[in-house]
Amino acid sequence: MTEATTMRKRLVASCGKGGTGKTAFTSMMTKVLLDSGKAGKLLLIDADPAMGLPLALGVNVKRTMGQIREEIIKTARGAKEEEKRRVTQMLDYMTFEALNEVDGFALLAMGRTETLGCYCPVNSILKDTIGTLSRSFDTILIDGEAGLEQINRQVVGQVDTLIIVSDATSRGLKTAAQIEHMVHVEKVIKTEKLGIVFNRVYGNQDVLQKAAAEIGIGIFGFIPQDEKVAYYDLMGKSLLGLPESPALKATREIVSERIFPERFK
Amino acid sequence: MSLFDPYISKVSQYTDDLRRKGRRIREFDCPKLVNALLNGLPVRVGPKAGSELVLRGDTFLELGNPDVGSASFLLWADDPSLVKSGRVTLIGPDVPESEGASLPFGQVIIVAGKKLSGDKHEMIERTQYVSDQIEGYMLKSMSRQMWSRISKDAAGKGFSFETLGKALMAIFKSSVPDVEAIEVLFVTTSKEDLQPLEELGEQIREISKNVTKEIWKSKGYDIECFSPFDCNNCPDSAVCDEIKEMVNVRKKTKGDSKANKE
Repeated sequence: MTEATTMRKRLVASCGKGGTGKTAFTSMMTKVLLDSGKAGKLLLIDADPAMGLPLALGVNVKRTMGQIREEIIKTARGAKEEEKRRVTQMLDYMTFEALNEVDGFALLAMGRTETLGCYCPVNSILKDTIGTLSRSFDTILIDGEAGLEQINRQVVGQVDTLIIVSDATSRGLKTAAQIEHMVHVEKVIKTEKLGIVFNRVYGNQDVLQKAAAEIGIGIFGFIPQDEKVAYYDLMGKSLLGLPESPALKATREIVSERIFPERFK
Repeated sequence: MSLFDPYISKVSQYTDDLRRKGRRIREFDCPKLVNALLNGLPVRVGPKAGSELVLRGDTFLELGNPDVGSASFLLWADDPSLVKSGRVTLIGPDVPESEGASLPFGQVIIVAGKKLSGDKHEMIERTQYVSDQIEGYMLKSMSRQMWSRISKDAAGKGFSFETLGKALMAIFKSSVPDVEAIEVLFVTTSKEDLQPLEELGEQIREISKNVTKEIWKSKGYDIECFSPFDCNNCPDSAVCDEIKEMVNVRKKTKGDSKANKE
């Protein structure tokens, strides 16, 4: 049936500085979950306007939530009552159209929003819609951008696990520190677990360990620099087809031991 | 005499035309009472009996995908003799013979009752969007389109268009007790066969729009603020106000008390 199974529902979001490999990491997590058969019903949400995730997974996106947002705003401008009613009816339909269903998972792309302005109520309608949609899934992976606000405003205010992805640079670490501050001090998003994944690591693990301790954040794991991932990225090949490789192995350890330990017991 | 009477005979002309063209047409005569309708149905029917999503992997048959087309409308009359009470007509393939297919979808519902009038219009209109009230049947709809999926589970239990017809009849009769007679037409043959329905639907929507307009004139909404920010100084607040109204309308239409919770 379509209801979520007895598997405990998990909402996991990745964030971090641009270019640190968040999308590649989310893609590899997806592959690991699918290969292990522990994903249940899996929903991926690409909350990064650059929309790298569909590409990395070989999904062709026809419609984004951003476009739906545009349509709502456009219709709301000077709309007559009758049309407004129509739009609200359309919302579920359009969201379902925006849900890209492929073998093994479904993907929702937030996309870019062209219209300037905050339009908080639109975000609240969209968030509500995504919330409803999420109820039918066991696992939800969100690929975010550096700032958590995008996730908070448009997708969800609370996750189970927040993963900060950083590369082995001081800039990546600086962003990680800012995110840690946003979560613990400014409470931009609520999370039960917060940790860092160091990506494209090439030695220097003890330095990174020390840096993470200084920020006051736990380490989920290290993903080594991996030629295969780089090659797939370069060729625009779906990372779901990635053969066994050091990066994939490291991701599998992170997923089974740190992110979804209860599913891999 | 009510607004839609002429269209009721146009719908039977449409069915006759397709019959003449040699389409396979099946007719089912269903009981009139809600309990008798629900009795023996292979799936549960009622609020939240269905799930919000039937994902592709769980789908036995998809109907009205935007790529293959759909057409739907609803007619009501205050003269029950105009309606073939309890009749489900299916033009085209049924569920069991369509495993894995994605078929075009036409759905016409005709209801009648002596007490039906303009003020019931909206409620009747809304009732056709059953969304998640039928187990194993997911419906996503816009005013022109109906996109639905029948789950493998439901199909395995024997879900057919007769089931869907009976379920719709039961839902209508329990949500709008003034509905005395109801007739349902399904079309699953081809996009071309849906064309005349789309044209009829267009005219009906025009009429429907005017009826609705009159009713909404007399209504006002609560404007509720969801924004944690200061809207007083926001140049876009006018647009937001409009959208807030939509949120309220949506909540009313869906009757969903959970809307807008974190």
